Amino acid sequence: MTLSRHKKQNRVAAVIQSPETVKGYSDYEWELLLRQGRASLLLGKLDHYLALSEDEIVLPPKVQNHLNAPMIAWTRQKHSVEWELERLRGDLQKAKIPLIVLKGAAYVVSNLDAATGRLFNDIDILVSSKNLEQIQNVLEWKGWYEESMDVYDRDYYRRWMHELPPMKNMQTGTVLDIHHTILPPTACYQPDPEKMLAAVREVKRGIYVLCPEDMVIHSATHLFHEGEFDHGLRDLVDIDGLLKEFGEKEPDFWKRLVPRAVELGLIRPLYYGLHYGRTILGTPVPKIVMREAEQGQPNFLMSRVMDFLFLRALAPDHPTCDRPFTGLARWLLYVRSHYLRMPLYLLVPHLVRKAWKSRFEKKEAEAALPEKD
Amino acid sequence: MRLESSLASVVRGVDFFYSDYPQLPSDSFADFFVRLHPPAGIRRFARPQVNFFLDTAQPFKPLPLDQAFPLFEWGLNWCVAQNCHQYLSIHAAVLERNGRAVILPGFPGAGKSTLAAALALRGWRLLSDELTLVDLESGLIVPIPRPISIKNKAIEIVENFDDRARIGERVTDTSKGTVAHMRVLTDSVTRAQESAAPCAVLFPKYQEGAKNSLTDLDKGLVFMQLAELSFNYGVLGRSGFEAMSRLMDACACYGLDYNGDLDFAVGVLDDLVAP
Repeated sequence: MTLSRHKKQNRVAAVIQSPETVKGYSDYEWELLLRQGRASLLLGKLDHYLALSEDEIVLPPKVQNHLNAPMIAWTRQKHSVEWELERLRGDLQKAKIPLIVLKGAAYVVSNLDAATGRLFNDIDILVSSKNLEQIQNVLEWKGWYEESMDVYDRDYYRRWMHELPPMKNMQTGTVLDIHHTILPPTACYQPDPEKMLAAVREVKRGIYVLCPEDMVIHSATHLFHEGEFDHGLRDLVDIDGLLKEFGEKEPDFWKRLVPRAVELGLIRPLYYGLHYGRTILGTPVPKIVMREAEQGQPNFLMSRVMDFLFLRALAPDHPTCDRPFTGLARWLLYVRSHYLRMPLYLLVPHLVRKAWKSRFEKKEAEAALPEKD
Repeated sequence: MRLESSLASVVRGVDFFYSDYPQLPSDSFADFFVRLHPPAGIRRFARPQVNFFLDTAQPFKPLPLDQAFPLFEWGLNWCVAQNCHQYLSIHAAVLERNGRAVILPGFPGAGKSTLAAALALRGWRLLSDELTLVDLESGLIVPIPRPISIKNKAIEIVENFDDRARIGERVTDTSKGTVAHMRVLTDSVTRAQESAAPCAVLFPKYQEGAKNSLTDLDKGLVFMQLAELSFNYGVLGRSGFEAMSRLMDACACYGLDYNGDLDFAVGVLDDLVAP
């Protein structure tokens, strides 16, 4: 029995778009779906979409176990994130700094569909740069500390990044990323964070999130400036989920989305988000909105190049999804992300140092042995 | 599970330890796709190593090449502990006799695996040497019988304890010293689908010159110790607490101090599960 007859395809995207495609899956096809889902951090999402499906889908018990596991972990994480945010809110409120939550934790605290089954590592928050010093003081008093890093890395964060070095909670081990701009100050787009800050919404007493349009735009901006796409598809699924839910529940959402991206100077990444969401996941974007967003489309040649790169990099990072040149596409996007982030005269020395360091550290790591169990 | 490896030692190990296990057609559903390969590059000649992959993920650093088979066993434990949340999983050996399962939690050096091997050689059915899986729904222990990992001096002790002990290749200089595995007896493999009701938790404690004795342990303390030894108690939340409570209700709790006299230890356990 040869297994290679199964053609390479992105099963995760297919199932998220239309869950009924699993009907008639062979045992081995189920395994392939789970493997791709695990590689793209989307097992929990697969469970969610399969459960939502209107057709009654009966999952083999073995498959169900693998889909339940991330949901159990997710339920646990949801509780601890809510608890951690509540504590943070109290601590920041005393210093009169509003707690503005971004990304995964924001979806959780807003009870959005995009949160369901999505695991994440860090809590991201947005702080106006005028409160930056103060928030660090407050957090240090409350048991958060900067994880140790060398002088170069620390300096790099301070000068060139849009966030502070991550802070870790001494007791809970939670990692907090504090953003003060949307993108690094050296990036070619410079959206004004104060505009996003001015439009935040209170979702729970004292806890704020970006307004729906900004949430989508922020998510797309980060995804399409990313250098590593190991969770690229996961992030695109976020955007897909946000668009579906806001499109349905939020009055005038579609009307406001594109003008807001134009106002923030982020129409290009929004265009990518809508375009690739539609192409890969069948995200229901109204035609009129798509046409409006096309002002963010790059020229003909560039569009072809970007399609070539993103349609490869946004598939699960799994050999059963790889197409010719997937590796090259991922590498080019890695280089692109740095190029977008900083000018060449900063970039070249930085990458040289990183390459040098990763070689050097690898040698050290190889000397160490793994812990058992 | 599905295994792919280019290494002769892994193939030999699997042939030796898993010949009794059913082999599935290659297009069956596999829970885990494990791959063991040497890393690419020139280092393979200078200081050969082996990498463990769960499909595309590489959860551990590479180990010296001769540890490939132990790495496979440890890695497979890790796969189960990380991903199988339909069970409360506890780092403990568990064996069954007369339909009654005894859980042997192990703090390192306590002699849990040695005792498990001795019991298996005296007619007990091995459910697992490392992973006690408590089914969240039924409260029963689900078997996952795999080779028993024994270390250092214990290897010889087990080998001399009973003629039926079949030990595989010894691997020296691991992070735990010399490691070898004992083959599971056929009966435990053929009955791998039969769950068993837990009846006791027993903490073995091997110490040279110790006085052989069996003592009752406080259930509350044992609860907390098992929670600490569990891989997913924290993740499971409420259902983990409920499964642990149910387990404690079903089990008597003991501490067994012994001086290495395995016949004595086996006798004590035989009495515990006598019909």
